[in-house]
Amino acid sequence: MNDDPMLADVRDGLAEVRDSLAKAHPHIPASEIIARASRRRVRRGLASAGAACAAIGLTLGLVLPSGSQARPVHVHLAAWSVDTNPNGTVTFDLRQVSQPARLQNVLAEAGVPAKVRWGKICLARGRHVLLSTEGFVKFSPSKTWQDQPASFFGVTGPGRGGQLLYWSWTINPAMIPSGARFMISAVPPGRVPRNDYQAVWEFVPTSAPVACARSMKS
Amino acid sequence: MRVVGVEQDQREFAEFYAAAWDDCLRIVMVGVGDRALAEDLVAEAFTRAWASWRKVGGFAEPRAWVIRCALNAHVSWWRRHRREVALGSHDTTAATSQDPGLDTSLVAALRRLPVRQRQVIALRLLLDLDTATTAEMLGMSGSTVTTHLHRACVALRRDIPARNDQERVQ
Repeated sequence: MNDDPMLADVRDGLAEVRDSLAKAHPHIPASEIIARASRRRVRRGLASAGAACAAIGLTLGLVLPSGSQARPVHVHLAAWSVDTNPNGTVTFDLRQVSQPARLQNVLAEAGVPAKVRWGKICLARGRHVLLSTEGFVKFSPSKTWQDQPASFFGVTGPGRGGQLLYWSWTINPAMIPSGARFMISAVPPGRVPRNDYQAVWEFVPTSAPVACARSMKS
Repeated sequence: MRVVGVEQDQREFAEFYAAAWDDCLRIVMVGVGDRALAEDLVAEAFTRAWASWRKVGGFAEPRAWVIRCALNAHVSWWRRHRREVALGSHDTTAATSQDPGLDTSLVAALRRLPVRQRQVIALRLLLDLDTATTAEMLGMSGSTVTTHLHRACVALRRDIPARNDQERVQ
C-alpha cells in the first residue's frame, strides 16, 4: 500500500475546496468575542454560587428599575443578530432561521417573547388572532423597504438554495402587551412548493393554538 | 500589573483572531459544509479560546485548538439537532450552503467520516501540521494520527471514484 500518492490526492482535493471558498473577514469584532466570554464567566460564577443565587436575585430585583425584566443583549450570529439599544428598543435582524432555540432564548433575554420554529411553518389558527403591533414594532422586510408597522409577514416559494431573508425589526419590549408573542417560522428555501410559505412571522396571543406543517399554502 | 497583563492578552488575542479567523472558518466550512453554521461554530470556538487564552495562547499552533474546538462543538450541535428532528422535522443545513465549493462529493465524503478522522484531516491536511503537532493538539499518539489519517484517506478515495478515474487519466 503506497500512502503518499493517496495522501497527496486527498490533500490536493481538499486544498482545492478550501481555497475555492470566498475570502471573508470576521463580522464579529474581537472585543465582542472577549465580552461574550466574560459574560459567560460571570454567568457560570453566578450559577456555581448555589444558594447565594436567591440573595443575588433579590438584590438585582431591588437594583433594577421596576417593570424591566430585559437585560442588555448583543448577540451577533451569521444567521441573525439581536441588540438592545440605549433607548430601550431591541433591533432584531433575521437572515436565516438557524439555531431556533438559541434565538428564542436570546429574544427572551432582550424582553421579546417569541416562539421560533425551523423546518415547519407555524401559524396561529385563524387570522383574526393577529394582534396590533402599532407603536412598538417597526418591521422592514427587505434591504430597500422602509420600516413599517406590521403584525404578519410571509414570503413564499419556490426560493433559490441559499436565499437569505433581510428581515429587520425594531421592537420596544416595554410596550409589548402581556400574553402575546411573536411566532417566527421558516423552512429551507430550496424545497418550498410554489405559493407555499418559505418564512413567516406574526404577532399573536400566547394562548392561541398553533398549527405547524412542513408545507403551508399562502 | 495585572491590568497591564490583561490588556496585553487582549491585544494578542485580537491579533490572533484577525489573522486566524479566515483560515479557521474555511477549514471548519469544509468540515461541516455550511457557511452560516461554520461562522457560528468558529465564533463559539474563539470565545472558548479567549476564556482559556493563557493556555491556548501558549500552544505552538492555537489555530489547531480553535478548529478542533469548532468541530467538537459541531458534534454537540448535531446531537441536539438530531433530537429535534422528531419534533420539528429539522432539515439539513446543506440546502442553505452558499458556496458551490462546499457541494462537492469530496466535502460530502469528508462529512461522513468519524469526527476524530475529520479532525485529523483538518489539522494534518488542511492546516498542514506535522504528525507530532497534530497528535499533541488532539491528545493522541502519533501512530493513532497516522492510522486515522490512513483510514480517512482510504474512505475519501473510495467515496470519490470519479475523481480517482479522472486523475488516473491525467
